[in-house]
Amino acid sequence: MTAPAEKPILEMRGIGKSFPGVKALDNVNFHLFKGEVLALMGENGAGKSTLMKILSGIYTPDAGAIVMDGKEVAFADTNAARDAGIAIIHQELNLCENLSVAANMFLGRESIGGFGYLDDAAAEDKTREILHSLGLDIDPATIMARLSPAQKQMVEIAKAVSQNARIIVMDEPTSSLTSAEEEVLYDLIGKLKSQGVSIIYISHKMQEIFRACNRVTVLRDGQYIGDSKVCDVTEDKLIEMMVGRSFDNIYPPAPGVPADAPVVFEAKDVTADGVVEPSSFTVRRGEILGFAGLVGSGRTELAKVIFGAIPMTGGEMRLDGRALDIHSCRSAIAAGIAFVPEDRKLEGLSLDHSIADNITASNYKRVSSRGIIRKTSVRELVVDGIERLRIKTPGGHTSARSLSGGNQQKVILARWLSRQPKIIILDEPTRGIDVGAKAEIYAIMRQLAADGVAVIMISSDLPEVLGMSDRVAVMRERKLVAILDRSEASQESIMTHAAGGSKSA
Amino acid sequence: MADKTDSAVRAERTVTQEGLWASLLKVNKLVYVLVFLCLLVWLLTDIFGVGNVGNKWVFLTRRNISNVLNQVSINAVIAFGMTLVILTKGIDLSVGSVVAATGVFLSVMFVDWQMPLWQCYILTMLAGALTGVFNGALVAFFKLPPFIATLGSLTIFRGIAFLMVDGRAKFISDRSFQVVGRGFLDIGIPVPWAVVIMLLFFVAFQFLMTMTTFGRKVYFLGGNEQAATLVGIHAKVMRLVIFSIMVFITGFGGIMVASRLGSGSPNIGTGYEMDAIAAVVVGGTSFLGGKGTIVGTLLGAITIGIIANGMNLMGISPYFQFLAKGVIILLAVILSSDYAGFGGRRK
Amino acid sequence: MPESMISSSRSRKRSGSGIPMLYVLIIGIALLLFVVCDLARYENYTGGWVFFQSGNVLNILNQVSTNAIIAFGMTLAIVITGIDLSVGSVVGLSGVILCTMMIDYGIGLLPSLLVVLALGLGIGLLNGYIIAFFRIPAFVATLASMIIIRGAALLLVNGVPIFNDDPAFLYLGNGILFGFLPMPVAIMILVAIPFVYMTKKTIWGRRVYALGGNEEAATLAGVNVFRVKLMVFGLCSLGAAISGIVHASRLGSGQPIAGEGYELDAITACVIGGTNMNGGYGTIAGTLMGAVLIGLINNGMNLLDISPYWQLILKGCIILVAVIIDCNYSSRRR
Repeated sequence: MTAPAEKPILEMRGIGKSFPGVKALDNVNFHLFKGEVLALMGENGAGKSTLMKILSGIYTPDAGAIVMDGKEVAFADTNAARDAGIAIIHQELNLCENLSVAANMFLGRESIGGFGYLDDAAAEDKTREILHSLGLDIDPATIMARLSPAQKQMVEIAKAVSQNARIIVMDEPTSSLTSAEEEVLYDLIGKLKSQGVSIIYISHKMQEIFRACNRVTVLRDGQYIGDSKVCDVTEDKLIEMMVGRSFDNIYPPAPGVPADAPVVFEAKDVTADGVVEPSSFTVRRGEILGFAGLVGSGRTELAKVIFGAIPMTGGEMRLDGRALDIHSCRSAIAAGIAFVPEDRKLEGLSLDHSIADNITASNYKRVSSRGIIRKTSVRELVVDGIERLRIKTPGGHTSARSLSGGNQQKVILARWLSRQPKIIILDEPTRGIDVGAKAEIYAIMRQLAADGVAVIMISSDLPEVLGMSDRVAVMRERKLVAILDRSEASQESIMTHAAGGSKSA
Repeated sequence: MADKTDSAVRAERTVTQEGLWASLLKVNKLVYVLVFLCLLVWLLTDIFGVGNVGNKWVFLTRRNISNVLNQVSINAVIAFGMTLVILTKGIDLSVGSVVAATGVFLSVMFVDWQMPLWQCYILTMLAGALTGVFNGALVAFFKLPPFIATLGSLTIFRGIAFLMVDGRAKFISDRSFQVVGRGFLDIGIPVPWAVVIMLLFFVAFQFLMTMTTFGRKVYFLGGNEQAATLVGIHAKVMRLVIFSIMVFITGFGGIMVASRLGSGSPNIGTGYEMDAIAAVVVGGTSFLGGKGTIVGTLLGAITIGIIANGMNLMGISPYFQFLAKGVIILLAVILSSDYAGFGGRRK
Repeated sequence: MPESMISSSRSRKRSGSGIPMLYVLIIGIALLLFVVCDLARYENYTGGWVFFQSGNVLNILNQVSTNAIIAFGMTLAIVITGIDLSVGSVVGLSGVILCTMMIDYGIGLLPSLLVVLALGLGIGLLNGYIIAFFRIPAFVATLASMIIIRGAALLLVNGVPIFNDDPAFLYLGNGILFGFLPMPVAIMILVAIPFVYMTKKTIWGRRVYALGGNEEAATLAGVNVFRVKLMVFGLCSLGAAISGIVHASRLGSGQPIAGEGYELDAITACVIGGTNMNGGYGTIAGTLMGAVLIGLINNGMNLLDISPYWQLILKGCIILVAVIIDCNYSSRRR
């Protein structure tokens, strides 16, 4: 497919980039050939997005050079990169939901008639042509908000094509797609490839890499680790490259759950109309139950139903054998359930408030009497939280915004742990967190399980699921489809259940 | 182990500072501005005698200071409530109409229905709180943007105010009725009752916002509503309560206005919402939610009052004063904005 | 099979601005008024129908015009998730300046008009600059400029209205074109046309909506967000200046307190006309219809002899109901 003898169309040589206190990239080399799909892999914080931001002109590198077609280039801003034929499709799509497909396609470079006249008909024709050439059946006049997430993704890609992009960067393109929709994406990638477009494909999901990519480049902790043809590597090899030596010891040893351990939490046919289909599972004392599945398979939604944030429309839940009546987050918290959300900044923290404020947020009862705050209790609570979770901070008054991802996550954990929950649900607990903090969070989870807390962990990171879970529940299309014991759980078995046959309506 | 105790000590030290020092330091900026302004006005009027015909001091006198505070009092009281609303990313435009409606309601009860004064007060405040529930319900349960919800209720309350007295102000000559707005409390020196009430409300709101769980919840809700819901803060109920408090306290402002004027007038109060918002904004409360203090609002209201007073004493045209007020608000907002040099952009 | 998943089988409605619902409302209320005011009470009146006659219909449009002219620009401001509270003050200031120039300085109508229009645009550009450059919420920035401009208007004439009986000036607000069309209505239409053209048919208009829909996406697509904001607030203020001229002509004087509360009326017209306070959605036609609807209701209440106090209460209720319907039951997302 690729001709190695060819000169690469893009080369990034010895790229370095530092931020205050962090060396994000250190002497990274990277090259891309015409018409290939290159997987850029690495853990969160490995430097992938920094590298791509340099490529798209958002950041300027401290060291190194970008070479396109043998000529050294420097991108002053995003427009310069775009003009050079580089298009980036971000994970959060940058589309105006209130405009039509055609309008989005040509936003910022509309065709100009006299008096600034907007030639919508021409734009729609051109859009139709481009969409058609990519085999997409989307009406150019449709308002964006009416498209499905997959369709929006396709429009973003078509937009890149319309800009004559020669290099398209796709950042986790499947994160909001169903498995059937993924197939459409792969078809599209195939078409682009045959048209000579090169694609940089960023993803954490192994099966996608093997399905869609030709070659893979791995970064770790801001450094170039290596690259290889996809057909020459195995998943294990890739994981080892990504995670490095700490792969073996990052997960604390699991003592195992005795067969007669009592069931702490039981969910029976828990349903939320249109969001979660009847799902049943149990969590035993001392157990970590991992939830695997593709993004959009309903794991977060199920967690939110348990936590009362999404109303439950059917089924029942039992805690220590007693039926739970959960109709709001408040009642779930009162029942002893804790929830660490997926998006810390959006749903977890009030970023401009202090660590102390954020830790106290779910503990108002404990630090007050008759609604009046007791300062000493607040201090005890906060100091205890900072100490217990070893949050690295100058003090409790520091704003949550100034903390690193790992420490932010610890603040949320401190908030919940001080309530001594009976069940704790962690949604993507280590997303965007560096390896050191990850290990600490894993140790905390293990300790919680040992203390008798039922731990439910949702993760899209398969090694994490395998490393931490005593059992693995797999969800597919809004439904819990399998629960695997530690002995039967493997990447293959999980993926088989998670992806299912590609039969879907 | 050593490093653990060290971090604990550090954490302990800084947590103690949190709240008291952090908030005082932040407010301090405005205290400096206020002191500077007072000095400036004092120098201009009393020392250099700008616009001052006699040789006597006019600014730094007990009488004038008490006068400034008296003039500021009603706006400050309303602004305390507005602080809560703005902290949770809301706004209340219906202030002026509520002031008019409650004043009219009070005078109707007192004059036409011949009810005892204390009953009138209690019923007026109750009516205020109930009206607040109306506003709050529009925002919390009908999910209207606060701006639009209170724009609608502004019109409705004004109509009700007119309707109750058929468009004519109701005059009250009874002395006892005027105590709240015009009377003095003698504690060695005469202090206007309005100022006493302002200070009482200040203490109450300061206590509410810094010492109670309710206050903490308001701040957290303003900072991140989604996170607040997920830690078990009932956002809708909080909104309802906040708007109820807002209208309740505005109703109290209405009582003070009616008492000061000696009448319940359905026309009164236009623009009061903007004055209250101005005090809150000058006091450093952010429109982005979650940041702001009651102390700041009090200082903001006093700052605006001192400037108006100073310009009055210097004989500056009231129209120019209008203009100056706008400039001050603008400066205050620009100074407290996220703007950090050219292209400084923060998310 | 997978191809079909991507097809847009859903309806291809062009926009979710809720205008059709508005037309239904307007026609419904007009019919209701026709029945209640004309048919049902026909025998009591000797002069024929009172509601459904050209004089009354044009009268409604005439009364609506000053508000509508302001509301067009306000629509754009709200579309980009802003707001402009200073328009009422601009109405006052422009009337005052126009009359001062003509009466006190003896400058002709045309140059005076040009100066006032330029001033209106300038004030708006300044508003936009402050908002875009310092990244201050438009609400606070224009709250401040509202007070400043009102102060300037008062200061300029020392609080006293300036009377102006120049016939050409008076014609602007009171004249009748072609024997039937009141000048304010003609001016409203003249202002509406470029606004409609700009929002529907120009690149600039497209960028306004893009900015309102997703500021970050617009920026990344190379839209000069700063300039768009400046222009939107400029146009908003320009509209207010035009409205101020018409208003002053109608009153025959430049009143420094003219236009108080007009910002709220304009916002009401926008919101009833389907403009979303969260930005991105709203049309000039919708806003015009919103203003007409308010005018219709006012007119009807007058014809029905409803007390002005009850009119206020009813108007407030109608605003709330209209917005509750828009916020909770519209098909639009978010």
